[in-house]
Amino acid sequence: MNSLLLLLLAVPPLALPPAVPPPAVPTSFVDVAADVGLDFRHQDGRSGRRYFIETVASGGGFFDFDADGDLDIYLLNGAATPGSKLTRTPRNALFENRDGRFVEVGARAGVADDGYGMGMCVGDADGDGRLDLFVTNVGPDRLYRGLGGSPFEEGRFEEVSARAGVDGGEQWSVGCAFGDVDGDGDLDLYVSRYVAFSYEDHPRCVDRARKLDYYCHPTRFPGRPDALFINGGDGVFRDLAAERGISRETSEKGLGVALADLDVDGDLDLYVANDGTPNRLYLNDGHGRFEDVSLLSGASLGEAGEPLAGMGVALGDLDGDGLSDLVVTNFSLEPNSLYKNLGEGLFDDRTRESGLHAASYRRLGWGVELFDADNDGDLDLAVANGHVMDNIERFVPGVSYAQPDQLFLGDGAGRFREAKASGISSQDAVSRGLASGDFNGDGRIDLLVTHTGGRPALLENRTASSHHWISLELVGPALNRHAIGARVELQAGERTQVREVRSGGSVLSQSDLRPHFGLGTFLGEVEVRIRWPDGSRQTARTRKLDRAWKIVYPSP
Amino acid sequence: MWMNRLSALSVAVLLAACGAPQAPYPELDYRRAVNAFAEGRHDLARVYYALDLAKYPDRLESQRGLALAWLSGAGQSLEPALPVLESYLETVPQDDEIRRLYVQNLLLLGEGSKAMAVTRELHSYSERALLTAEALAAEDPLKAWQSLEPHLDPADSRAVALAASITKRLGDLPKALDHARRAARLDPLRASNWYLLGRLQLAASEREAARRSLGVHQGLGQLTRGGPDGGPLSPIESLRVLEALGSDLPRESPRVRQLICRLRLEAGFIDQALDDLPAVLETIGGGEGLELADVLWRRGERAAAMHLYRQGLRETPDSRRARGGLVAALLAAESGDDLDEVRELLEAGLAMDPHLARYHLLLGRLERAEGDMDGAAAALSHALELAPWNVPCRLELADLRLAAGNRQAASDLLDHAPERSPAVDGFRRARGLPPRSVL
Repeated sequence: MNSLLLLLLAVPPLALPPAVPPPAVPTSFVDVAADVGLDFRHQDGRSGRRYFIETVASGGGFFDFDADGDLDIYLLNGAATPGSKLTRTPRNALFENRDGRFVEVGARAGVADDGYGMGMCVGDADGDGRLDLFVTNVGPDRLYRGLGGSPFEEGRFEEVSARAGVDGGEQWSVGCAFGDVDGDGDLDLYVSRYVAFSYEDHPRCVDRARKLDYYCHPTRFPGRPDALFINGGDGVFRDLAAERGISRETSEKGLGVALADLDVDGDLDLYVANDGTPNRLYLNDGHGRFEDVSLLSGASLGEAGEPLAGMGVALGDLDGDGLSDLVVTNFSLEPNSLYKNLGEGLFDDRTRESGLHAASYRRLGWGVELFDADNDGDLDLAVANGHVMDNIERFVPGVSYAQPDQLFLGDGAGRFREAKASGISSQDAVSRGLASGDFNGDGRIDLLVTHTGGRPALLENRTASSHHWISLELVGPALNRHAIGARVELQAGERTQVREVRSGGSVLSQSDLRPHFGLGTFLGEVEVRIRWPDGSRQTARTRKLDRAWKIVYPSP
Repeated sequence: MWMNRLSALSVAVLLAACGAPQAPYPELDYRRAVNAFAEGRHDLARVYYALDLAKYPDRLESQRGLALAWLSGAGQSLEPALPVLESYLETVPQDDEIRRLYVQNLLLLGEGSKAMAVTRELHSYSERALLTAEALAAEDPLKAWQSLEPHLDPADSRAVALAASITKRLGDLPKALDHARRAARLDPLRASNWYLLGRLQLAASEREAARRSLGVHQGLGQLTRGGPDGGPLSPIESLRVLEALGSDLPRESPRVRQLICRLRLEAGFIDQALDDLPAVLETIGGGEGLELADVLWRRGERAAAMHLYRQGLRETPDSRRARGGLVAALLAAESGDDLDEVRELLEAGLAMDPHLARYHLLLGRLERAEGDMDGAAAALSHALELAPWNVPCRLELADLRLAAGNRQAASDLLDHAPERSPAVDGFRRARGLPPRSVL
């Protein structure tokens, strides 16, 4: 043993308080994608010319497209790029959940888009009570209107993006979220735009000393302003981003998007993760006009005031104060950021205190979800990781292209400890999208992780806990039956938990819209206080736990 | 041993395969590494130190050099430095500079416990206290404060900023604000000081003050990170940014005045800059003076540059930058009266640093100025051997070869440039030499 090692051993261990006490039950996730028929392989269409779009693709998510009560899965695909040798046209796929097995029905449902797919979000854009699907692409985006009313139409979609005014032309869209930002009852749509891209003007980036091509840095491409589509109530949208206070900076490269009531004043605020420039936080005045409070908020930069390369966004109350805190994934050699919500639009960077700094520093984070993995009543954190450069090992020692995903267990006070043996990080992969939802209805939240150029992982939660839970199926007001934007406080004994019904989030992904609460060992009566998207309030109580509980918006 | 001979050799072989030029004699890799590091070419220093260690695994200077090259500069990374670093510190535990860099890299990675362990071996009490506090700040602010407070140097902006962030974590907002204000005064060009101050002012509901502080932070951020398109700001744009900050940025601060003076010089507002210069020079010293001297030199203000180089050399007689700058300025003045002084300065420099490429390059210029073309060629050849990446040196030697009528030698010399350079291509075109041969 060398003397340095002896010296280190002689030093007493650092007397730091453990960040989070060890969990009573180890969390366990198992990839069951192949077992349940999730037969899909992502194609990024690469030809070796290293087109920048290949670095971002693609995501997916959970939603109940056929309204049969269980979660289906939508997966986005890339497309052939010039020089690509793909023999079949890659298409997005929709997997219908049939008692826990998945059957691909994308073509039949009309959503097997062959564009270069990026991400997705869902919401009832036309207020007909059925979920619509918005798909972001490199090139025209797609709005698929959910059909219904006859057996023939049930579970099918109609592509209406051009008619609805949301196709975005040749833009490269990435993040999206539906929400009623102007309080008129119908759902509006925010779409983040990344950079200006064309095959014709694409730069080639070469390290001459090493004689290596590499994917160009985003700074080689001008950014594009995001779009805020306001719903005219007739299913036709207008991009009113400039009029409503959204930045028109062409330097910004938007990725993850979240609409949530961050200052708890009853309207939806907006957070956008930007790649390499300050993230944006916009506070809503209640009428769909936004004030840019990014810099003042403390949630747009790193701890020393430096812009980071923001990717995905997750929101959740991490410390039980009733306010949604923010977790933002960032590039490798930057930590993921945790911003504690102080109220009134102010945040404090608590990345180091949270225990996330060291654990995330070398990873390149994309999709991110806050959910209760072990139903103990605290929010846990999952992060999908993977570098953008397929030869990064040649440039940065200690950083790899494929990386392990991560699960962090929360302590309910804003601190996390990585659960390395959870099964989430069992295999390195080039992950992108991450969504959460209980696909098999067993009361444990599962995860969907998409992989660039690979098969997705459907991580079934097999945590063997006896913790109780309840999930809510909220049936909202007329134009927003899925209650997007509703805020729910659940009181279980002394403990209050908060959730919001959110479209989009993470990055490239859609999680289950239904709020899910872990209750730990609590077995009494729970009280649910709902603030519906239109501001009306409702309180309900139940003693029947471990089930999905349907609560309907009260008729006026 | 930090790396067994086989693996060190593999690294060297790999590096050689990547295009690193082979040294004709054993010491040359080490000398090139030292020169590369001195010229800020950390990438090349890493290669040459690794090549040297493949031959001499126990050479402490190369172990230190390799560690230093990985722990600083562009592409800085702790992982590749770790084996050599730990081995080196085992042998030379008293090297506080390396240990401090090691800790700072660990802190960057968020490895607080490891940083604490390494910090314990620091010999400087104040440095140990500062780094311990930094390592503990997030996890245990009280202990961090207990470590920092007794050694807190009120003139050290980094320590004072750390004091602000620790006292904030301890909930003592008034004290945190005091420290943050002081840090911003001490180092008004450090954007993070203004960000911290702004955040604290917001927490104290000083919204207007916060807006101003964060405005300064944003402005300084633009200076360092560039404009909205990500490109660097021109000196004129930088001056506009500073102008827009008005009195929010303390313009009486020597560092701010120096920056404005430098930007004015770079922007071509020479008269304005020279008006400020006497006042700036009164408050300036060391490396800051040399930085300004370099700008003055580039802008053709040789007398002022020479003054600052002389001042720098008086303050730090072994400063290579000051000595080299002064020699270059004297040579460029093309006054035969100065050549004796130049030779004296160079001889003294070479006595201290016999293998510093820059001194040999300057010696070559001196020989040329004195008409000794063979001597000039020999000195430039030696400089190029020590720093083969040095384009100006290569071009000057090629020029000498051409002047001697040896076009082939000039062309070969340019063919052997290890990196592509527009200056080399331009030189070929201007002198009618054929394009680089493709072998």
